[in-house]
Amino acid sequence: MKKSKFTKFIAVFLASVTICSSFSALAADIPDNATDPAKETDKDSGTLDRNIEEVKEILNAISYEDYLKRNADIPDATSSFKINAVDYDKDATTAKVEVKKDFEGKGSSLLLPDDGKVGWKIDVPATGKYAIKMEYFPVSGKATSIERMFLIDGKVPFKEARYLTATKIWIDEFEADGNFKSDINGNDIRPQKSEKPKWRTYSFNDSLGSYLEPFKFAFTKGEHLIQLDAVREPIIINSIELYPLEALKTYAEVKAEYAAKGYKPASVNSVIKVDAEKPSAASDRVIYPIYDRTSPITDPQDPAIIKLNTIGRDKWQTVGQWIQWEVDVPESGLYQIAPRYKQATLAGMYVSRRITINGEIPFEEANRLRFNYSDQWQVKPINNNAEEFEFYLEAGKNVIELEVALGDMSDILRRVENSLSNMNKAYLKILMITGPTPDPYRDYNFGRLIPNEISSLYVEEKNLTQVSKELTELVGIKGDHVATLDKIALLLGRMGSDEDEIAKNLENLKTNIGSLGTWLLTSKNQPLELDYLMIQPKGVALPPANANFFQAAWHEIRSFVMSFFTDYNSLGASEKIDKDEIVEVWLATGRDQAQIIRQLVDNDFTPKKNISVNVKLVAGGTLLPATLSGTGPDINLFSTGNEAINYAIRSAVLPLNEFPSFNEVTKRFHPSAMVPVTLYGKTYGIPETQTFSMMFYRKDIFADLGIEIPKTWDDLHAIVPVLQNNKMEVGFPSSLAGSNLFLYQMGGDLYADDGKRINLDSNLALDAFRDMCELFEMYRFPRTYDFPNRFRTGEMPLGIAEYSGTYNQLTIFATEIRGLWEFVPLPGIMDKDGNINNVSTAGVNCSVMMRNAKNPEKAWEFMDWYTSADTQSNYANELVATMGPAAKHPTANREALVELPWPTRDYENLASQFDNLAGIPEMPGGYIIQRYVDFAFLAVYNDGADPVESMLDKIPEINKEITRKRKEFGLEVIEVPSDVK
Amino acid sequence: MSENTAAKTQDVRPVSRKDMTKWQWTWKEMKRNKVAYIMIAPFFILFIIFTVIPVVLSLFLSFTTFNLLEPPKFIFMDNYIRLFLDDDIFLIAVKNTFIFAAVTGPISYLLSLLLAWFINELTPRIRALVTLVFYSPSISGSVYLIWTVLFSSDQYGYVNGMLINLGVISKPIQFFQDANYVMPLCIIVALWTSLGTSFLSFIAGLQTIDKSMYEAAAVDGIKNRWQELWYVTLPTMKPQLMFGAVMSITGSFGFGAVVTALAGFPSVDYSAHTIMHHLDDYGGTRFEVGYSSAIATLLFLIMMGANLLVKKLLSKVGQ
Repeated sequence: MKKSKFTKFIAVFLASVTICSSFSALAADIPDNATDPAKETDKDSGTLDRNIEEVKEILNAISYEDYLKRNADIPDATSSFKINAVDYDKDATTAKVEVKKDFEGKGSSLLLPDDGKVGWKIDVPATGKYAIKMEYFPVSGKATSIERMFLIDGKVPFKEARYLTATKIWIDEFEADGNFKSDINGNDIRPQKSEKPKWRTYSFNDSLGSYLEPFKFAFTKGEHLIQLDAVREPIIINSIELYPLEALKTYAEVKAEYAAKGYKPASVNSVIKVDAEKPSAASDRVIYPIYDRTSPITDPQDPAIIKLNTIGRDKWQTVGQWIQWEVDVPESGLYQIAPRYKQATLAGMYVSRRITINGEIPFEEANRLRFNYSDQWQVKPINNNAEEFEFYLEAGKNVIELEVALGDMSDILRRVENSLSNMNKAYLKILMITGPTPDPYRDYNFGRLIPNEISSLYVEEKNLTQVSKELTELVGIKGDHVATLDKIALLLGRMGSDEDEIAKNLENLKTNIGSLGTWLLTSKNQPLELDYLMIQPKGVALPPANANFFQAAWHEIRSFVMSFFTDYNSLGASEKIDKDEIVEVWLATGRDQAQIIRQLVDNDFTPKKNISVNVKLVAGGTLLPATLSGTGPDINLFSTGNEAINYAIRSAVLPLNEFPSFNEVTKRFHPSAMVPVTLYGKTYGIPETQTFSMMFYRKDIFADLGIEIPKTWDDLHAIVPVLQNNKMEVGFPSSLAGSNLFLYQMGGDLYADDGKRINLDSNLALDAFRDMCELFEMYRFPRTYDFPNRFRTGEMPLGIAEYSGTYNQLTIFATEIRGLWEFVPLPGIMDKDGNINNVSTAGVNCSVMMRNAKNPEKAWEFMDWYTSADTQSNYANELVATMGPAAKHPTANREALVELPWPTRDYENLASQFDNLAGIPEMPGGYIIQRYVDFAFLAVYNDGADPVESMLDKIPEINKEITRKRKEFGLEVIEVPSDVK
Repeated sequence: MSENTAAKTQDVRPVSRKDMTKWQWTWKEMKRNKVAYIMIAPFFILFIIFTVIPVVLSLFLSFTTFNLLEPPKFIFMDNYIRLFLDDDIFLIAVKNTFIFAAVTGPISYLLSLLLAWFINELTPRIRALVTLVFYSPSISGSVYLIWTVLFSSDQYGYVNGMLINLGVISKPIQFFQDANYVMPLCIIVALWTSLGTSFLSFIAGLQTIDKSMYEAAAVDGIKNRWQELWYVTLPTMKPQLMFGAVMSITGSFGFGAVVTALAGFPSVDYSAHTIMHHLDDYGGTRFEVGYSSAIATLLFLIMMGANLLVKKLLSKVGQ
């Protein structure tokens, strides 16, 4: 009964989905509904219209370097002009903009939402190359930066203009006395970050830092249309100014100017010390105070308790991130700025920063400050390795800002990036001829087939050698960092000059492309940790950078002794908690997760509900013995659906249906999320994460081969030969995962008769199983493969894989293909009416309430709060903030998903698949299915057995086990015929 | 006569062994040696808590049905009846276990012995080095995972890659997911890691043998090295032989972790499913601890039997 209801529901749902999708396809051109909030729920279109033409256009865009070359004959502009943001052009605007009158002291401004284009008509007075800057006001929103795409006359002028990134402004919330909050034991508690929007100027520049100067855009005299297309986050703009970019003065010139003006070093008494861990603002939420316990003279320091005393390290390493300090200067004059810093990550290299004082870059060299490597702390006036700079500061408040920039490295890294992309292209071309394992003795005739690529290998060898030479000069020594480049250059030289070497070294080239990508990634990271900034006139002695031996020894001894008396469990506890009243929550994931949840509890849940919660990080596998001995928690987080049901049928967890707000809570999730945690009408867990498969594809390869992104399985079948002709493969989940995908898209179900027997012997399921086997038999899909790796190298340009893990991994480790891939909803099965059913099967992690919960009502309050959209999005954003972009949390809460920092395009894809999910129920004895389906599949795969026969063979075994298990729990069974062995 | 004896004992000792029951005598002896007992107590208490009690408990649980989360229910022999009469997989597991034990047990034992014997001939410095080389696979923990790289099912696995390059196969062999390969491969890996503790104890045993024994034997007419081995070396190191045998029996019957790491759990078509796996399957996946205790009890009995058998065989050494 329940099942048929469920199928009906699914059917109705899918029908509505497909109807909506046909409408939304029609409506796609009507841009006004683009920001309609209803869109989020209405846009249930199964498949998104991703057109290969669009993909091609993006890929073939030229780089800024080429753009400059192409427009070399256009002179630099000589005059500037400004337009007000509110004078936007209605015809060229698709976004739902909003005019803000008298906004924050700057007059009328324009709010640009996070979706759609906004256009302005400009009248350029004279042909020339203009830089563009805008005055903006970041709107509070998600924890990500603002991203816009810039178009001139409807076209993106060059590739980098797609990723214009403006930062937000974050501040720490200190206590009234300017100190950090502390817990009952005196440990500092990391302050909350909040957005504090202020007007800021953004000059359009490269978000990756490959170009130190802002972009110059070529305009001819006359009327033009400029547009900003939203990628991420809303923004308020006051004005846009096109101005001629003038070269900055050099330090020598500035120094002469100072002398001419009679500026003198300030008097020796004006020494200011600024605690770096208490900045006045920072660009990212991740830049928060941290603690250093390595040095006894890090200020402040304590052997026993945690003192937040530094800032930065790996939180402050990406281009564009800045930290600001407000400094009260006692007297006008020349000062040196000497930070106490540590750069112990890039061995043999330096990291770069750009300094601005009161919003101005004082001189050219300020773009390329250097912080050299040492495993010790260092105190040195800001310098560029040649000269220590002096800055003129007026008496009163000054704002000093340090921004991550690539400095002298920017040019080098850009060239290496170019080389990498050329190598990638050449590799793909060769791969299409030879396949991943070429025959070293065959003459492939590369010179005739792909002459350009072969010569490009040779060219890149020259480039890399040159880069390596320059880099050695720049750094002063030839470290292992440079050696990587030499090694690759050597290989390229061999392959480029001798055709016979190509096939032999292809494998080698592949690994080297990977290592070059990693090289780029690590070189671009510019971590720096700051303790304090000394602002003092030249000549005043600097404080010591490191403690002497006795200080260090005394510190170590004290910390060692104190370590016996520190209560590490109550870190962050703000009040003594009465033992019996607390809700005990366990999780076995990781320290960061536990800490974030604890923080959210302390700052949000406990104050609101007046319920104390003890969040405990336990080792995996502790729950079972703890429950057995009666010392378990009240709530366990991140249980699998399987675990929840396993505990439920042994009455170790409580059903949750009876709690007052149960129905509201379940509405937060897609119905499929409730399926695995529900058994016979009783729900035992509240979903936290929901993961499912999506289709990943390589844009560049698809564009190159001219094939469309498959929307149905028939489409997929059609492109497989094309891919395979080019020696490429498709990744597809084998065995049960694969056949379930087909089964649920056909509208089937894994169990029959309410879980009393398996449904795999139904015609539908056998079809699904056969279809899956066919892919592996007929098309020879590989069964075992490392998807991210093969995807990265291009051998497997198409694959169906679990979305969050794969996405996270690819963003972090496959940097060389950034922007060359995306994930889209799965292909589906088209029915007679042309509707496509492309549901993906989803699994969940859930929180469960244990049988021994002392206070079920309070525990339920926690679960309710914890799975709410607010908490989930806070949690997810915190996680990204703490652990970086690879920690995207696959929340099950549909509402929270909107708040997560996904790029808009990815979000759209994700959301559209999110509305097309199917949950697989967990039943007693379910573990047996995977096992026997594996056996059946392997019989087909290894020995070429008939899929249907091989499946039918296993059915009695599965049913027998299910029946046996059900008997154990006193559930209704269907008697298995006695002839079954 | 009896009077005489009584008088005599009264003279020498107040109480004699014969005047007491066995228990009284034991108690008295214990009191006399109480220092020794105190010294052994820490180990003994721990041994009882962590070894004896669990074994007894498991024996008890094998007569119940117990799912770890609810109290056990007594069902008498049902577990054993089901195990023998209604569990095909168990029979497969028994078969596999015996194959494993029969192949890896003796081979690894003989291998250890022979290698130890050979190595013993080397000069001390080289001996130490060679010992380390042979012993390293078993001290390096999960080093056998290197085999999953060698025999990876991916087309980039070393063996698959080589075979594809040579043109022997066109699609990768699923070495650890193909019933034809799993068992032989696991046996090879088991042998590779088996030069463990017994190997070391043999080497130690060989070192303890007094050189004069060989000289005496030579005088007595030993003709060759084989006779020397059989009549002198082996009988002298019987305790080590026994120890090695017990280790290799428990090792080969308790074989499972390596298979799980290589071939997954369960292995395809239960092709390398051992009793240990069956035990894990019921104790872990299915939460049927009663049933898995029954399996454990049987495994225990089998090992005991094998040990007795080996003891018998070893008593023949040197005869």
